Amino acid sequence: MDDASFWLGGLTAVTGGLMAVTRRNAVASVMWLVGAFLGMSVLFLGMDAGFIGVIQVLVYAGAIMVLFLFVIMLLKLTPAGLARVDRPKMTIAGILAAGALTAILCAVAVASPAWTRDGTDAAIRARTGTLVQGRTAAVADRLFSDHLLPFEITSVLLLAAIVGSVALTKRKV
Amino acid sequence: MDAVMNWFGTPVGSAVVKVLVVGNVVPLLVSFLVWLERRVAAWIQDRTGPNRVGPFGLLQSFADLLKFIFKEDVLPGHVNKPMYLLAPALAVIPPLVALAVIPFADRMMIADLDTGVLAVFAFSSIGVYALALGGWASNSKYALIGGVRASAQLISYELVLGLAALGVFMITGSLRLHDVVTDQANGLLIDGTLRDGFLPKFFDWNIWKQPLGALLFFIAALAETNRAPFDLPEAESELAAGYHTEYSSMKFALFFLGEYAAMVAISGLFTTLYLGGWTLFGAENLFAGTPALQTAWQIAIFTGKVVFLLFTIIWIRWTVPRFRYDQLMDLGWKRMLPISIGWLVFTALATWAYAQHVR
Repeated sequence: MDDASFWLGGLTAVTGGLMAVTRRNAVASVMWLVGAFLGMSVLFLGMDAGFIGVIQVLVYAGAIMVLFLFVIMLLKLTPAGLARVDRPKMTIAGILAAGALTAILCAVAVASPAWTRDGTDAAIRARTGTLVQGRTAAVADRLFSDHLLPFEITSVLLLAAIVGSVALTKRKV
Repeated sequence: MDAVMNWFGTPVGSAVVKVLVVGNVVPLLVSFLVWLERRVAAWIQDRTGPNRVGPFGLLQSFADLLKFIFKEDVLPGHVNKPMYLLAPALAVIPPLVALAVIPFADRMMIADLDTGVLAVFAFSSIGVYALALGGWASNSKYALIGGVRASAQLISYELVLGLAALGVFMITGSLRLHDVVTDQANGLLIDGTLRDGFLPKFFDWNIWKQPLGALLFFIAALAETNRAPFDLPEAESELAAGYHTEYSSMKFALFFLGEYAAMVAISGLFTTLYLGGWTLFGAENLFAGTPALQTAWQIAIFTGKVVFLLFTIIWIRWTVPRFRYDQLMDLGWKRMLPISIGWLVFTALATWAYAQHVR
């Protein structure tokens, strides 16, 4: 991954995430979170994982967050109407939990063999022969061979959800 | 001077040139489209339409643009300022970025992405925020209803749009839009021999292999671009102007530009997926000797098909009345979605059977 896409994507994702949890206005939070997802997509693209990067935008930024925004618009949340969380114990517990999660993730990342590996394009090409692991065909190759059963179960689950939502809104005949 | 010319030959240089050309030609095409819309509407309703500014009224849109620039830019006091200002920008950027992956001639596109059409869908799905935010931030009843309608409609029909396009990728075997175009220009394999005359090449277009898919895609595309009979988000007779009721001057013009640019983008995508893109039954190689002329000729073919589609969209707007909201949701979820899933299963079976037959 080149430095430019790392800093652009990383800074956008971190800033977006921080702003999303600190904004008082729920719609502003949603939009900052969309920004964070776009930043993460840039990180994926920088790692030559174009398919995951595009799906990140299509599914998270383009579909799921729109539903969030849709619900918030209908609820007409105003900053004044939101309950303030100013119990100090809750704040301390939250900071501790977030700190613990960050520490665990850092520990796992540093302990993994990928941490000390040379991440430059030339090194990756020397190691794997190609740079195409993230490409669409490569993703499909793994998805429809090694991971076929989980993939099928997930798709049946999603189909059941669609049929269920249509059945729930159908008028009685 | 030589250094500058050489820089244009580099990948970055040629990309910059293409971005500048597409980024300027599309707004120009939009101004032509607005004129076309008004003229066709007038023609269908047996009126004259704008015919005073320039030949056939062609410069009308530029006069309108000047008016937009010189109008007072009102910022209402009751709006949520950051979101109100963000919405028009989000209306224009996604359709223009989506055009970057659409090939308008052989090897002529800004980005030849491996994910191709998924990128187009990803960018156009960002466009929903413009309508939702514009409606919400305006803090007005009409705008809010328009925004809610728009976002519900867009996420419903996005699903059908994607499912309909999947059939094309099943028979092509690639998401890359360049491959989709060249796959439609081979001619047909009949009795084990490749026939590449005029008719076989004509029937190699995906619209003949995916008739129902193309129809579903076209209907969903009308809904995605808020065109009649799916223009409920801005339904003039019910909602004043929908999500952009509170916008004035150039901010309103940006919404306008975004909507028409989205029409151009989706027509370009339809042309690429179903109408053979820049190919024309072999006639696209008419000027194979001179590359510059060849490219211009292919761009002309592509533009011709896009303009024909845009005309069809306008024609539909002035022919069909608007849906009621429950009809819209019924059509999307209970009719088009099951049909598109059924068509997908049929395409999968047919592709499998064809593969068996050819082997």
